[in-house]
Amino acid sequence: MKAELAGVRRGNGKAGFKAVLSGLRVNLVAPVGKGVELIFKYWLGVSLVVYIALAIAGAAWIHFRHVSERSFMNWTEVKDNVEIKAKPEGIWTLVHEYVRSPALVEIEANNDEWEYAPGKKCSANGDLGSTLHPQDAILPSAPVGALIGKVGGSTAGTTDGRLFVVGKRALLQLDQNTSGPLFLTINDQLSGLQNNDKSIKVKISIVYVPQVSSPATVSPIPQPVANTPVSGAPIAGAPIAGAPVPNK
Amino acid sequence: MLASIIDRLTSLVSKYLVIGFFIPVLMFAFIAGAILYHDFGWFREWARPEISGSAKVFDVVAILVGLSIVAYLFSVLSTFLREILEGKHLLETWPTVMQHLQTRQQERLKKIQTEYEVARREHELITRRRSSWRQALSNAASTGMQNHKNASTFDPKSQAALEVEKLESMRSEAKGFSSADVEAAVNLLVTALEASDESFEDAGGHRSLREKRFSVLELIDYAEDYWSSVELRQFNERQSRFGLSFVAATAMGNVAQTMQAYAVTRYKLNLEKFWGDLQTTLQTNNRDFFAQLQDAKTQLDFLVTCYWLSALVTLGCGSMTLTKGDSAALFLAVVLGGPIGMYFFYLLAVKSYQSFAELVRIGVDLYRFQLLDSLHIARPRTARDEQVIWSTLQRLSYLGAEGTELSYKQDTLTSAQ
Repeated sequence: MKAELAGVRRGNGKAGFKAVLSGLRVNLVAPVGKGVELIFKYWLGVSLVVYIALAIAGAAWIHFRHVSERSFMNWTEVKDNVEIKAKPEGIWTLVHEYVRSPALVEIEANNDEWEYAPGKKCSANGDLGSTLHPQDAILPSAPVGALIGKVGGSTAGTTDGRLFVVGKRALLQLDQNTSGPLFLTINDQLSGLQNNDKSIKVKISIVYVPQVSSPATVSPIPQPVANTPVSGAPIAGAPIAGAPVPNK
Repeated sequence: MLASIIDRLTSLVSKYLVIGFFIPVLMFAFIAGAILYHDFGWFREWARPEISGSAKVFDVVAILVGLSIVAYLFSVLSTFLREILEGKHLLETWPTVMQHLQTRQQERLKKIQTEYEVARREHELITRRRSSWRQALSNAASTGMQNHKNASTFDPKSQAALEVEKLESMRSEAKGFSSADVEAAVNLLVTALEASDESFEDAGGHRSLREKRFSVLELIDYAEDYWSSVELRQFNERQSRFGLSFVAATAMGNVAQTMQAYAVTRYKLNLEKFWGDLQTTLQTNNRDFFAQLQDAKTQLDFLVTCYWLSALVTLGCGSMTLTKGDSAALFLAVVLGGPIGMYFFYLLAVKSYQSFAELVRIGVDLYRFQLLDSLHIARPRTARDEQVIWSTLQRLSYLGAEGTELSYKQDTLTSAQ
């Protein structure tokens, strides 16, 4: 070191450069080395502190992720532009192969209109002034021409599965005992389906929830659009799978 | 139901496998199941029929078979897993960490060694000086009584009295005091005794000086017993926790070395080489002792398996709850509780290993001659002869008969014995 400093004094560039480097090592590297040495000396304590800090960070991350999931509904499955013909091939149009419960199902129809009889147009909300009696339709409790749905059962059944009215928009809460294929159709008399026309497109969103023991536990339900009927809760008088069929 | 399953399994496979491996696997599978049930819907969906009792027999059998396979895998890997805890395999690939761990173990050894040496020295000093202290106190009391009959200048607040009280308070706190402390108290009291009549009664009817002398005599006995017990404790600690000169990186590694160190230092018996033979001898000659040894080994395996299963559950459930879970509290419970569990299982495993090592040492002490008999080697007459025999046998086992001289016992001699 002394020789190198002498080199600096004598104007020897190489020796001077070495001296500067050596000085840097002493001034910068030494404290870092001492820090590393200290970490190694107390490595157990350091590792413990780092581990606990990481665990707390992980827990915070889970917490914020959970909070954000609660704030914004993350639909597991979304199907858009699904066409529901007013004159289906059977009675029902299959729109989803299988909905595994417990789940939340949101069905939203567009503003198109279909015909439940020649010249009788209506939206997915149905025709409240229809001359046809809803009692003769597939779902007597829903307006004629309304979009209705069914979970479970077959494409040709009217009393199997769980029936519900959709209208323009519905949010259906399926408990753990209600699973099956999802069907949609127009609420019309069975004999009148053949003279129907046009179609409505719907968007189907499904989220599988961990457990739906009570409505209060399923809080992250998106707010409904104003002036649109919201259904999904069990419908009074709606046919239940396995229950006796009421006489029409 | 669980008890009957365990009974059935015990009759089918060894108790060793069931207790040492199957029960820990079952236990930790339950813990992992509880964690997954709390946080994961798919698991709840699968587990609900199993819990309600409507599960198919196939499911139950499949789960039990799966857990049995895991338990069997653990039994196969048990030696390897224990050796990792002994500081082999994994740590060997990380020399820096190994070096630091070895330094820590070395410090512990040094501490035990120092405490042992201090205790031994103090015990020796107190034992050596005890009679002279007693004599000095007795002589001083006699001198005082002769020279200052019915007169006492002893002050209960004097330095001698304070010194004795200091030692008394240390004894009441179960602390030890050095021979120098005792010596100081004795010297001060000797001076006090020489200056007063110890039989002189003060106003309260107390013979304070005599009481102090008796107290010092008791304190001398206490100090001797104290250092003797510390010496013995540290000696046992040294013997049960550390081997010869080489210090392993972990406490378990050092306990493992104690068995070999014991056999080598006492009999020059290479236990690593002859352990298999000794086990066979034990199995033939003393089934009760062998069963005891197996029980100790089962306990050790149980704790080692629990340690590794804690690590697996912490890692598995911790990463699952971190990536997919909803509960931060559950995650914290897993990642903090898991390592705490591991730490306790490790501590218990070290203790259990110490017990196992103690049994092995007893086995060596009691059954090494039976091993010689089974090897058709005549029993030695002296301890030195025995060391020569075991060294020769070791040479023979490694290098073959070349250059070794060893006579076998004749059959007639065997039958005569």
